[in-house]
Amino acid sequence: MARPLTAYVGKRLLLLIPTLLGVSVLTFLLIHLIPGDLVTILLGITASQNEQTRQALIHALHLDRPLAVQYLLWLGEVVRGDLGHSLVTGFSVRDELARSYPVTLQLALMAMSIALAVGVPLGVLAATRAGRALDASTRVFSLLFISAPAFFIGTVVIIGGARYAPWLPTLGHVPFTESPARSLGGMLPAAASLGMAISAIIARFTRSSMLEVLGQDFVRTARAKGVADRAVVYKHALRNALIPVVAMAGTQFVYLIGGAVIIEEVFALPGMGRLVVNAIYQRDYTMIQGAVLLLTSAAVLVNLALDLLYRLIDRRILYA
Amino acid sequence: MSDEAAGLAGPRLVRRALRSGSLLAGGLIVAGLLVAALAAPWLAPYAPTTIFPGAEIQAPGPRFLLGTDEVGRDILSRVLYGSRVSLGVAIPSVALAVLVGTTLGVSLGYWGGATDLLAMRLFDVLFAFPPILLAIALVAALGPSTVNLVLTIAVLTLPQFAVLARSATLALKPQEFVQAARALGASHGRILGAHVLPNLTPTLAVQTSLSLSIVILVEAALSFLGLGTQPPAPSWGGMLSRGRQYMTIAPWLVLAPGLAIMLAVLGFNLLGDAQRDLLDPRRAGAGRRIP
Amino acid sequence: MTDRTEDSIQLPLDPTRRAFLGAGALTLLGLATRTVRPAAAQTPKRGGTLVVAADVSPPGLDPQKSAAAHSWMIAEHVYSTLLRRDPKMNIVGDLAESWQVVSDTTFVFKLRKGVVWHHGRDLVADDVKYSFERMLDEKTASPWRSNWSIIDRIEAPDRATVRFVIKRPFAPFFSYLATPHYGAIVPRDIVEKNGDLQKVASGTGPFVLERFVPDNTVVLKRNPSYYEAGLPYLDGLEYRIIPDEAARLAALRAGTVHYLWSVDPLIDRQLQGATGVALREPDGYCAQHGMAFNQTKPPFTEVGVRRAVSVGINRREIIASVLRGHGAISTKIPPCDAPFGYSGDEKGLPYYAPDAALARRLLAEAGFPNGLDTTLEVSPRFPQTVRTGEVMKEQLAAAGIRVTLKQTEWGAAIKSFVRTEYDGMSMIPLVWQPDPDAHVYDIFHSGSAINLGKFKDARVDQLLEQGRTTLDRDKRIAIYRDLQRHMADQAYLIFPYASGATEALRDTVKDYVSIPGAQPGSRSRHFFKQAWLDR
Repeated sequence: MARPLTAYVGKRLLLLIPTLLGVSVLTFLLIHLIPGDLVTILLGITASQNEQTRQALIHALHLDRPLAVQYLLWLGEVVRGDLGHSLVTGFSVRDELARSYPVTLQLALMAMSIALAVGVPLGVLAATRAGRALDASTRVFSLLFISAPAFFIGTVVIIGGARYAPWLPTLGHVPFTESPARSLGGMLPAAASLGMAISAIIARFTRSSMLEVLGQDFVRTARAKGVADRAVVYKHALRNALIPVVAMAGTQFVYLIGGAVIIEEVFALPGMGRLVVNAIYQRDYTMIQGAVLLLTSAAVLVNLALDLLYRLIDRRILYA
Repeated sequence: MSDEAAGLAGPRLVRRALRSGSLLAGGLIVAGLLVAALAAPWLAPYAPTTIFPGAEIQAPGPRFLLGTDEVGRDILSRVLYGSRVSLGVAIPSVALAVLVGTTLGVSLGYWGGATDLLAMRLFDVLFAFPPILLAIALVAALGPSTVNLVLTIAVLTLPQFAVLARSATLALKPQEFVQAARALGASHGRILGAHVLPNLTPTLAVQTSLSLSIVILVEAALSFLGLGTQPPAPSWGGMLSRGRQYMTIAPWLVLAPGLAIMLAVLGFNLLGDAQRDLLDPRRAGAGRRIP
Repeated sequence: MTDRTEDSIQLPLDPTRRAFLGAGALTLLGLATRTVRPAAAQTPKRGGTLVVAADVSPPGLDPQKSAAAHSWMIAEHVYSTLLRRDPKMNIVGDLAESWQVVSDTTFVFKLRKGVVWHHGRDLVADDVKYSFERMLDEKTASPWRSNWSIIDRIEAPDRATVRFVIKRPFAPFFSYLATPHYGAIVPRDIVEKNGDLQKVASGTGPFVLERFVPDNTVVLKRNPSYYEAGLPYLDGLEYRIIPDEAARLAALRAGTVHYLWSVDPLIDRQLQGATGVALREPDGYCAQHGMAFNQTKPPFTEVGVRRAVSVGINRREIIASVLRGHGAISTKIPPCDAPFGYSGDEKGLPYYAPDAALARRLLAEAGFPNGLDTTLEVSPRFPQTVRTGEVMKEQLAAAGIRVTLKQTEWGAAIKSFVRTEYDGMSMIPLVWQPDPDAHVYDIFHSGSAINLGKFKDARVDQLLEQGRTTLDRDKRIAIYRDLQRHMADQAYLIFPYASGATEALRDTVKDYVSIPGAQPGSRSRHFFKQAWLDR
């Protein structure tokens, strides 16, 4: 049924535009509500006292125009593909986003991969051996990692690494394009710290989802028919159990691509999380606006992709 | 009441509850937390903000049972009073989120229409917006006070409840008993109160427990960024964040608040698990996104 | 903590030295070319990249556009100035091999020969002229425009001569020339090609910018044609941006970074047991905290109330508790700028000795027999400020002043502080300035837009004007000490202490020198120019 699908996708993509418009207006209003004077922050105490210096900077940054005009000026640039320049550094917003987003994306993908690779098998195993030693230890493991804050796990990794494996690079970032091996290796401690926490959530979720499915009628029927136990587990139960896991992992991933700020701070990764946080602290309006556009688009697109994936799995289940 | 609901209430439920290890463990932990929070002034040997000059970073000993922090304050007292801070932020914010979110979600699901479409797009946007950034922006705009913290966390948490309530309401709307009640002339209020909400309650209960555990971690994360409960108030997250630097020379600085956080999260998770097992045996877990 | 000697700051505008300067070109030549190196116990080894752990990413590298200290710490290794300070804080020549004080308002500088820009061409006098005109140009929106507004014109009569004509006698002029971010000499062609120097750099300093990745790293490489023969020894300098302090310390312990600084008073405990790491205490305390009163409305319009606050706090106790002793009693001009600043004790400063009983009496006389309630605004961005506020709150309670701490996000706090928009009191950390006038003029003068607290005092104004136009050093010292005594007597502002940062280095870093008057992020180029790694 291809046509309704493309129509559905098309509609969702079209909806992206008003969503972005709405988000940008909301963001614009929100950040201008935050008290604090950009010019004082930029010039520091000593320089910001001189009225001429202040006015020169205010004028250069268009801050003397009415809010609506500032917004429209910005919108006009965006439509032409120009996201403007940082009010704090003068760097091009597009360049800064292009520099930092791949870092966040790489972290998200690596963390998610680790989380799934560890969490799903663990959850499945715990479900099939429910009530036994493995199940109990999995539960302990998950609870441990779920309840320890990410910055804590991260610091333990860094300090432990510095003490016992000083040769292991934990901080900073080598771009993927420069050296894939060093880039992935260097980010591994950070991705692992983040990934383990998520793997715990996924493991628990997979376990409970599997248990539900295993308790359902059609599974009992299949067993009664005498199909080999393993086949039952893997073919029917897993696929059905996966649906909510996919949904849950998806929400986690959307959160991750928003920039795991804390892990980025602790591991000194130059990603978007830090970029936006600093922009908020410094009242860098153009940077915030540009970043929010990117993050919103990415989130909406990823959600769309997840929805399609969901429907794909769902349809196959229905017809299985 | 539907058959489903009937089977979940009554003496069978109580028997199952008493046999649930999760419920027992979770309940005990949460009860313990509440006791610590309420009885802190009597349990704690010192006030949480009293500074003992010259006693910085002392190991646990007879005078300070869990040692002192980098400023010279007793850790045991701070951990005990910290339960007030953590619960004092977690409970009101989740309560607010449940109330507002459920009302919103049920209304949207029940009445639908253009408002529903608009709201779903707004929720898409809200889910798209990284929660940490929203939190920072809100705290920066409103100022770092406990009230603002509660409001910020409530705003971050209510979309989940709204979506959950909405999809549950949508699932219930076409069902027979609802249609029957409408045909019999029952008011919307009666339907919502007598049919929709009771069916919602199990799911909401589970999600509430889980949200409580998440919010404790959110407060810890915000404290790391300097936006959580402000010093000198004893926040577990703040203590953990500030104690990290001294981890190698003074592990008790992080062990105490860390264990406290883990216990709290554990307790609420166990409760949530137990609730799910007891009340909601056939539904998929909380957090499922329904398109 | 060592006390500074009287000879530490020598401003060449002292008239008794003028003749010496005018005729002493040769001596100055000697001063300018002799590299200041402390007696090295070993022969410096060449090579290696020294890694610095920085906490904040520089928001751009242009010294004429960025007011952020983290920009300057890069800029001061890449750019040169006409003058600079030696380790004893004397002003000596850098790009200027000699200079002549023709009159109180005219100065002629002779540029040293053989200076080459990183991008190849020779340094000429027009470059100096351009650098200052760029800062004075409104379009640049430079934070330093008002500092240089005293300049009437700059002339470059030949390739190696620059003449400055200023509007009035101005005592801080030479100090400003010696301050890396105020006086950096930049190349016109590179500015015009790139619009600004935020992401690119070409200077005449010991290091060349190789790479700047915001939020990640700044890499500098040795300048092979640097005019001080033999320097630098290092192959390169790298600033790694590591926002988390725990991570920075771990990196230092592991040896992946060589240098960091910290304001944590417990830094010595944190590095306990770490091998290969040494701590350096600051030679002088130069950073202050300043607490201002909103003097546009009661109760702080009453001098008695302000004095009560001053005697209500116990500065020594604050230093012991918050700084664990690593601090000194101070006025706005810190002890490291002695003799302009008071060198650490409270003698001669009225209302500095703690006296809770006196505080209560003063309050009663001012009409507050039952004490008063007020707020103190601080920002959690600087935990030291919050800690100081907490201790002060406890101390003032005993004096009958009940303080509520109001924690405000930094962006809002700094604006509120600078424009006196807070209620009651507000406190923020203040930055060291290269000249006594820069320390006090803008924040004390009644006509200034950023007068801290909005107070008006004709005597203060008079002393400020005299301080900036008096060229005789001894007279100047007397004026500033007079000013600070008067400020303390009227308690217009409260300065709880002067503090500093502790530096931590790997043992392999040798011959590291920093100027005591500086602070993290604004150290002079003695910093790493002559340092080397014992590999």
